[in-house]
Amino acid sequence: MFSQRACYAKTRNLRMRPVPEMGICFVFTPAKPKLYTLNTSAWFVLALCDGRRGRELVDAYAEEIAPHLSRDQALAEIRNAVQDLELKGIIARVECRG
Amino acid sequence: MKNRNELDAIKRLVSGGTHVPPSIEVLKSELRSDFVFEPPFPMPPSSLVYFIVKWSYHIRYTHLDEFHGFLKDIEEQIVADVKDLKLGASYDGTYAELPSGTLHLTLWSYKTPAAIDQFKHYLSSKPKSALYKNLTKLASFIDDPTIGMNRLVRASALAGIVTSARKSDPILDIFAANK
Repeated sequence: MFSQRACYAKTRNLRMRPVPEMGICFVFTPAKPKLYTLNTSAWFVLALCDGRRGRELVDAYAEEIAPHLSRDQALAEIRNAVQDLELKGIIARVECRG
Repeated sequence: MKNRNELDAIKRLVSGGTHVPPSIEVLKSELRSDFVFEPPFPMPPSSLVYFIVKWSYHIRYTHLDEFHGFLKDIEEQIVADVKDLKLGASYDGTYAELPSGTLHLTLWSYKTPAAIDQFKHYLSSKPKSALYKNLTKLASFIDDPTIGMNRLVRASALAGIVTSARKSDPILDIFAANK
């Protein structure tokens, strides 16, 4: 379940292979060996997961896609994306700093 | 991301086009390196040849002049002799790749797959023919263990069969199915 208070970061040993010319990023999760394809939006969410809080993720995501979506729509999208990334072991909750 | 620039680059991608909701998909395994299939028979009608067979090989530098001289003297005869057989086979020449000039390609074309067997049968049965001797001489220059022999098949003949011939790896498929 997505939490705006929790902090999120990429899991340890995650392997990322961006393919900017195709707007995708390949991600390998060694702990649960699987290879994933992230589209541009999911890649952006993953890039934002640098230990920041869930609410900061929403702010940053909403700011970038503001012309396309309302804040509520952005919240819904990032909630689903973060849950999916967490479920697949691509990101994990970490201790918040400060 | 390693640095701010990379995050900025993704932002440009995100804001640059039509918005698509985030999606994270398991990459489906698909190995193509071992897919082997035979072109369909009969082939689709066309005025083009069906197969081109390409030999690619290096000629030793010290043999280049002799090899090229042999081709200069004999190649037209090979062309005519193969054509006269009327088997649907054709000797299409030997070409040197420049600038080095040691890599050579010898091209053959066949109107039908059966023409390959017929041509082979002819050569086997006529070891004293001029064509046999000339091809033996040509082959004698080729002592390259890395010689490549590739078949080029008319691509239109493969319409619809490449996709169905894809192979997948059973082990990788287990992981792909284990979502």
